[in-house]
Amino acid sequence: MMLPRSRLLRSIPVVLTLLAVQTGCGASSAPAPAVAPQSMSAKAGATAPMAEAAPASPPPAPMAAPAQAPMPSPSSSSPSSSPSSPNAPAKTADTRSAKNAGPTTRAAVIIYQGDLHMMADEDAIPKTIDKVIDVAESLGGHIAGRKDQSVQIKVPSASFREAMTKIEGIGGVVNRSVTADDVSEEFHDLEVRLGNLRSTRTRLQDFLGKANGIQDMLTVERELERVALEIDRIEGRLEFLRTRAAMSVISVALTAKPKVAAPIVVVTPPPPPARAGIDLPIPWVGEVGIDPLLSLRK
Amino acid sequence: MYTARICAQLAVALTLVLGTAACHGARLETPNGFATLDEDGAYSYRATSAKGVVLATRTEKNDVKANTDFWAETLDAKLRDRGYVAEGTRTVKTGKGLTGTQLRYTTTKNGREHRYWVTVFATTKKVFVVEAAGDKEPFDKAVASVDRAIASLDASD
Repeated sequence: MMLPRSRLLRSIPVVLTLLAVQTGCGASSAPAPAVAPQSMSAKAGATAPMAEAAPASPPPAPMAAPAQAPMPSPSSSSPSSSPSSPNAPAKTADTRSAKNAGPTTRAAVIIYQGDLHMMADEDAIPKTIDKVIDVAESLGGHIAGRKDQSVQIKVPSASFREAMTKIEGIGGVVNRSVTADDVSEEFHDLEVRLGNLRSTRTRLQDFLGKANGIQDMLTVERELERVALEIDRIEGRLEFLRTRAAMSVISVALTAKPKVAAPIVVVTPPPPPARAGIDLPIPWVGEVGIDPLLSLRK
Repeated sequence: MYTARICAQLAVALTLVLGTAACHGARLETPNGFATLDEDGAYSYRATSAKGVVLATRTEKNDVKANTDFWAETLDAKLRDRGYVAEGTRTVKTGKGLTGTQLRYTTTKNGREHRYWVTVFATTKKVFVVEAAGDKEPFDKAVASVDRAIASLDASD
């Protein structure tokens, strides 16, 4: 039984090295289908190199909000939006999950950002901002920031398109743009890396329980600490992406309509209006005029 | 006896001549290019150019003892009521020191724009009205002659 102990101690650095390699680079190249069958793409599954090193661990549940997030309307100028119908990607995802439920299916994680530029009368700007906020609150959203001539709101991504339409209905929109940032790949990579790191942490904890020497325990604990930090970082990033995808940001900037400058009109004073003349009993006054003057025939 | 009769006849003749002259009314110096017309109607003097620029004077009693401003305003009101378009007012002075008010108008006659100037002078007993009118184009060419004619008004109470 002495042999196993010495072999165990000798094997710790080797195992740690392998774990380090796995957690450091194995995640980015995606795990084996067994790790996260519901959330991996076909590409990730085909290139999975770490099947043995990553035991099965359930991935986080797919996010509902991003999967339901509508695409911007067809008229939007989104640089990254699909040219197909607004809801096409979401429907495609749903159809795929229904028909091809399997290891290649995963939900799209898209962060929507809308920007609107509106013009309003200077006096009406505060009221217009209030209306934008009302739209957000009516859809379950909230104000994210407000300045004198701009406002930023957050609305559930499922209501993003409706919110844009309602804000445009307020009137005065002169420019609109929608950005749809697809973070699906990053999100699912992080999910896989998180699963791997959790597995690593479990194995390290097992090693820690079997370690006998102080040196071995310190070595394993340092590694555990590093893995825990990495897990925290990835969980934070995932939470950030999840929140951003669940609530879309719409920024509305308002500009006061330029006041129409009064045209410079040179007013020539018109001759005074006809005055009501008195009716003098003097006949010749009524006879003065051009007609009798120019009538030369007697 | 004979001499006395001659003197009496001369006195009567002189009175008649002076009376006739006084009743003749205000007159103008007829400008070059104008012809003087015999008048026995409303005008005491009238002259016309070949192109229809007409000058005329009226001599009326100032029964209401009004000054020049009164008559100018009265005539202005009447003329505006009849559609004359006022272009301005100016003060004129004759060569004999009589000061009057000139009212300038435009009006349309037979589809053409005409100018019509009325200059009124009032004394304690008489009102002298000098009228000038004509088609705009020939009138504008004759403005200097018209102005000189008005300034030559010969009028007395």
